[in-house]
Formats: sequence, C-alpha cells, structure tokens
Amino acid sequence: MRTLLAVLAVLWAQAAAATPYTVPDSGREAYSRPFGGLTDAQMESFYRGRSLFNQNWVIAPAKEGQGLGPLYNRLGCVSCHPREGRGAPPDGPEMRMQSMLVRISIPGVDAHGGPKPHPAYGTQLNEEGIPGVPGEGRAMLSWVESFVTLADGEKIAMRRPEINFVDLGYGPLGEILISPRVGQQVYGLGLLDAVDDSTLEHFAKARKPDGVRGRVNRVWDQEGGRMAIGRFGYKANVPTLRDQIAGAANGDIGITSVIFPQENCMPSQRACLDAPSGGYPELSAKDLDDMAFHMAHLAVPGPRNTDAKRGDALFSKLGCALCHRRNLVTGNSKFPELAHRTIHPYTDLLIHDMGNGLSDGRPDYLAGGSEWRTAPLWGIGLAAKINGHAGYLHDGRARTLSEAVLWHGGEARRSRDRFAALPAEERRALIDYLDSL
Amino acid sequence: MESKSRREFIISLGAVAASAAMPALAASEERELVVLTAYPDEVVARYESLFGKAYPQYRLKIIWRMPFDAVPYLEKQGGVDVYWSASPPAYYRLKAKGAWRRIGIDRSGLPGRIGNTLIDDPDGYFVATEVAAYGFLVNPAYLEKHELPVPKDWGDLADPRYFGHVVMPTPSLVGFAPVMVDIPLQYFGWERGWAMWSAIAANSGFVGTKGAFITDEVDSNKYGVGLTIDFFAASKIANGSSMKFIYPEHGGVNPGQVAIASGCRNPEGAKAFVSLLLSEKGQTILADPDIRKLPVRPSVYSGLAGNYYNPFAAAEKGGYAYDNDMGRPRLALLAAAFEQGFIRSRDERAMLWRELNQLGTGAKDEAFRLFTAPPVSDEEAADPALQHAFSARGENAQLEALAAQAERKWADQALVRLEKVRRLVKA
Repeated sequence: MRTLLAVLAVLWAQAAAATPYTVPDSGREAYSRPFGGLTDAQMESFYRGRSLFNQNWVIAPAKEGQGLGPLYNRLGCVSCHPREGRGAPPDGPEMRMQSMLVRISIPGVDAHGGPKPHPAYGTQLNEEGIPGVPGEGRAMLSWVESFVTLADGEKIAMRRPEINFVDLGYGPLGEILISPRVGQQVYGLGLLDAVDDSTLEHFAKARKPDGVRGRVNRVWDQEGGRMAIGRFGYKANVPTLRDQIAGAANGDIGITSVIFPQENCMPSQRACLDAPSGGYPELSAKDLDDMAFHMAHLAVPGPRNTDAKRGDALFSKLGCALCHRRNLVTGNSKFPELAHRTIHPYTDLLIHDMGNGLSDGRPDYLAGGSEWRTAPLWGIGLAAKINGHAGYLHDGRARTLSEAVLWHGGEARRSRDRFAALPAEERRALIDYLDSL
Repeated sequence: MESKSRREFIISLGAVAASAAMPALAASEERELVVLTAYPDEVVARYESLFGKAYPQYRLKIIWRMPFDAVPYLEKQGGVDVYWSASPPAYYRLKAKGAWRRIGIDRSGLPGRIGNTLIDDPDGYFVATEVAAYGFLVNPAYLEKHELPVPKDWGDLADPRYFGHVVMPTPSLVGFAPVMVDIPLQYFGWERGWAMWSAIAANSGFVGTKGAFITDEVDSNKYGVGLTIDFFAASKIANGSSMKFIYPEHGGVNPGQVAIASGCRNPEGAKAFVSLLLSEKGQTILADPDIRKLPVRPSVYSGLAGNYYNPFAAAEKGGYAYDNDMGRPRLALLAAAFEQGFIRSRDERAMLWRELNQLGTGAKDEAFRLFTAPPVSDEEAADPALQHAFSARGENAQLEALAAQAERKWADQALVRLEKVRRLVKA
C-alpha cells in the first residue's frame, strides 16, 4: 500500500510538472489559455468545448446549435463571461443587462432546501423569449451613490444597485426575493472542483481569529441526485463544475442537457411549454464533457509582480488571508493533471457573513442573505484589462478593488476597518498586491 | 438579524413589485426591432449597447442564425426587421426573392466599393457595414527558426519549402474560405490559380469549425503561416500576440452587410439601426481590439491608429482587383471541388508532393502537371446549372443529386491523377 501511494505521488507530481496550471501571460488572452502540456487529444476536447462556450445558440429548428430558449437571458456562455472573464452591470436604467441577470424566488424553500421558485417566473428572470414566447420582463438597474470617508480623510465614492421590474410578461411578481448577479470569470474552475470536501469541512471547523467563521453550503447536486457541499456560484450554491455548466446553460440560455433535461418553463407558461425544442438533450453528453473539459483546463494567469512583498504582508496582517486562503491542495480528480496539486486561488470556498451592506436578503440553501462565498482572487488584477471594466462583487457594484474591500462587513468587518485606517501609501501597496495576483 | 434584514428587503421589493404592475412609461413605449444576425457576441453586444443609448425608444431583439440557416429562416419566418451578417450570397439570393426594401438612408461618404469589389448593392437594397480582407497570419519566430521567408503573395506559399508549415481553413466547412479560394483563381487564371492551390493544399494542414482556430495553430507554433481573414488575426495581435498579418499583393475583401426586410414592421427603427452601424461612431467600434473589422466609411481611418490597415488606400494602389460579382455564383462549387480534389486524399497528396519535389526534372514535369491540374474544369465551373446545384443543394433532392454526381466525378478524376503521379514518382 505504501509503495502504491508512493508511486501515485510520483505520477501526480509528474503530471503536475508536465501540465502547468498557470500561464505567464498578462495580456487580454490571459483568462483564455489552456493548461500547458495537454495532449493533442486533450487540446481537441478543449477547442470543442471552447467553440461551444463561444457559440451563440439558435432557435430550433436549425442545422447547428439549435435549442435556444424558449426563455433565456443571452444567446451563449460568452455573453456573460466575455473573454472567459467577468460580466458588467448596466450603467443605468437605460441600458439592458448584457452580462448580468437577476435571480428571483419567493420566501420559503424548495424540496431540497434551495430557493423557492416564483410560481410564474421560476428562480431567474429570463428577459427574452423566442418568437411567440413573451419574455418575462425587464430588470432596470439604477445606482444609489454614497461616500465612505477613510481615516486619512480620503473620500471614496460607493454605489449599490436598485432593481425595478417593467414589462412583466406573466403577471405581477408580488412579494419576491431578488439577487442581481454579474457573470464570473471561469478560469481555474477545474482545480476548485478537485478540492476535497474534507478540506473544506476542515477549513470550516478550524478556529479563526477576528470573529471569522465560515461554513460550507450544502446544496442539491442535480447530476448526483443528492445533497453535496457547494463550491461554485456567488453563494457556493452549486456543487460541481458540471452542474454549474449545465445549470447555467438551462437557466440562462434555455438549453437542455442530460443533467437538466427539461426546458426552463414554469407550468403556467403555456407558450413556453408549447414552443419548438431542439430535442432532449440540446447539449449532448459529449458536448457537456467537452465544455467541462474546456472550463476545467482554463489556466490561471500567473502572478505578475513578485516585488509586491509589502502588500503581501499587509494582506496577512489585515486578516484578508483568513478567508482568501493563499493555498489549497486538490484531491482526486478524473483528470490526473488536476489532482493533488497545491494551488493559490485566494479562497476557502466557504460562505461567510459579509454584513448587511452586501446582503441580498435572498437565502440560498444554507447561505443567508448576507452570506457569500469567498471570491477567488487569482487573476483578479487583470479583470479590468481583459474585460474593459472592473465590476467586482456579485452585482458588479465595486468599480475598484478599494471599493470592493470597503463593502466587506460582517465577519470581514475588522479587516475592512484596518484597511480603512491605513495610510494611503499602504492601501496602495495592498491594492498593488491584489493587482499582481 | 438575518430574518430582520430579509424582511426589510422583502418589504422594499414589495414596493418595487407593485410599481412593476404598472410598467414604466419609457419601457411601455419601446418598439421592438428584430435583428437577425450571425455576428458573434463581441460585435453584437457593443452595437446593442450603443443602439440602446442612442435610441431608447426601440427595444432591440437579436435572433442569431448561421448564414446557412439564415436564408431558410428568413424565407419561412416573418417577424425579422433587419438582417445583418457577413454573407453576401444570402443577400443576393433573398434580393432576387423580393425579401428586402430599399435601405433609404443617406449614404454620402460611403463609396460602396473597394477596388473592383462591390460591397453595396447597386440597387440600394443592402449596404456594407464592414469588410474583412484575406491574407496570411505568420509567426515570425517560427519562420525564423525554420529559415522560411515571410510570404508576400499566394504563389509564395506554393513553394515546397513551406511543406508542413502552413495551415488553412477547409473551404467546404468555413464560411469565409470559398472567397479565398476564388481570389488567386481570378488573379492568376484557372490553370495557374488551381496549380497554386494544389501546392498550397499539399503544404497545408486544415482546420474546420469546431476545433482549433487558424490563430491557435499559428500562435502555438504548430504552423508558421495561417491563411485566414484578417479580423481573427488582427484581434489576436491587438490583444498582445506577437504574430503578424500579411496582406498579399493580390488581395480580396469580403463585406458584412445589412438589409431591411420588405415586411419590416418598424422601418424607422430599422433605418435608425442601419444609420448607427454606418455612422462615424458605429464605424469606429469596428476598430475595437475584440472586433478589428475594416470600416466602410473611409473618413473613419484618419482617426484610427496609424498602422490600422486601410483597404481603400490599398485599392488605390491596385491591390483589390478581385471581382466579387464574378466569383459569387461559383463559390459553393469551388469549395466542393477543393474538397474532392485536395482534401479527401490529403494525406496521400502530401506524401506524393514531398516525393515529387525530390524527382529529377523529366519525370517531375509530368508528375507536377498531373498533381497541379484543376480539380474541376473551367467550363464546368462556369455552368450556371451546376453552380446553382451547389449553392442551393439543400433545397431539393434533384439539386443534391446533381451536386453529388459532380462531386463523385471530381473525386474519381482526382484519384486517377494521383495514381498516375504515384506511378511516376515510384518509377
């Protein structure tokens, strides 16, 4: 047994060395690169998955890519994750949500303890419908501005969104819970998928200073048909990468798959139920495998400024690293190149109370309205360059990393206050460090 | 604590929901404008955003369709106001069926042609909104390592030194490639043009639509030269790649166009959309690093970076003598002939090409003549019935049968020629 483990350890180390998961790229392609050292066959799968990621889905019947809708938000994955990066909120109510959506539900829980769908609208406002199927309405976003004054007197402009619904296609919404979300960056997800549950449970149990707690979310695994630890989504409300891909395809684009075989219509949406379908599934099992391979093997931009030692030290001193953990170790994976690797995602994948300022008031399984998953920070410094905007946090409200830090509350309040108390030069050093990740 | 804040949130949203029962005035006055397009999200999203700001009274609804699916969709489905795509054959085909109304906007400052290539419909039923030009994406480090010169024109790539170093799109699969096949045929004539393609094809690897892109293959050092249309390459270069794009001495462009449907329900909105695409601002968006198409309004170029390629300037120097009107009817046929002649037996062709180039002069001449013979005769390619069979083969069984019969003939001819070449090479 010991010999077998030793052999496996050597093989894992060899696989890791042969397939670096970071890329030395600081350009606008840095979120889109594959792991190094993939075989030709793996690259073919990666490219097929990429084509599907970039594909615009079309209304059935069609020769290729059929199955859009009947209800949907956007035409393809790339719409909300441009250049494999982050979406952006609208500037104001006159603009459509192009890479953002609004989750909705009513008070209560569904059969698995998740958000309770609205009887007419489900769990997400699909603004668009294919011809003959009314869209569900339009979410208009307005910004409410405020200011935060730091210890040294600098005033930082902050903003938070307000959502108004118009042109509702299926009657009044009534009393609802909402949560606006921008598309997240999608690189490095295979590695996060490969972190063992036991690792996350260990993180949750570990005692931490500053009132930091953190817990795992337990959510419904659609493919596995069981409850599981969540790790994807802003509230860690999705357990696996495959569930994440298939769920987004179904919820955002209206694409059926082996995991979500039903169209995204509510029982009262007759036109939706009667609309032409691209078949079941519209995303074949092979397509889903390729998409999962693509996203599992999108490499992470390597750190770019190794001189940011001062910011590095501040990151620890302020307590940021308690949740934004520098190091995780992956466990087993169906992809050997993802298994048993030490990675640096700057997250613990746990949900933490972030205070009322960030609360959406919409529970998601165990995550309360103010609880959010620790955002992975790897590659975050390239977001503005790659996507042409910053738009941090779940609704893209933070236009700078400083704003994002200042929105932290709840368990992160002490770290946030320490940041606010720093002299400008040290705040800059910390932000430079984040920009180097 | 949690439940309190949640309750407050619900209450505030209750007010929002109540207001939602009475749609906002601005939103209820929106008039829908349905645009059918094949442009990728990088393009569409930017124009959606610009249009939404400029014309909040219209609600833009995008329907996406690949060009080969767009024509049947437009023929069978109503409800599309504007068709916006880089697929000239579709515009001409639908014009013949009365699908468009005249654009009817001010077109001053829009020449409507680049060199010999007409990019606007002379009758005013559709107009170009952008063009893309053909050429060679090169990896300078790769070429230097393999001691290969940077190609300047199509004929350079027929040089056997480029064997295994070139990648090109499969013309029967990749939408922009049939025009590329036609470009050397027009410039250099039928025999010489096909001879070039025969050699280039033997030197090349091929990509389709689902796997690696030409840009991937060149950027990853798998090949040194990629034949492509410029915006894929220019976007990569604008985003930091060290690759270079070479516009050949004998160039060609392919326009993206826009038309307003004859049954358009919102003509004013449609005109507003077309006007926006053609405006200075709309044309400047084309230079975005993620788009990198070529504007059709020449005045825009003066505001772009100095090295931004200007096809109007190149055309003044004679770089764009390609006649797209002449080429259009035969494009589908050419792609099919290329497939039968060069791609079906590509592994064997590549092997024979390599051996052929090592032969002594006498045998080499005959083998070379056979190897580089056109996969289809000039007369066949000019036959309107056969051209129609290929461009509309999906429409009925008769056309499909005619096209398939021609393909079998070309495939057989190619095999016979290859067998003769094999004998000469092995003799």
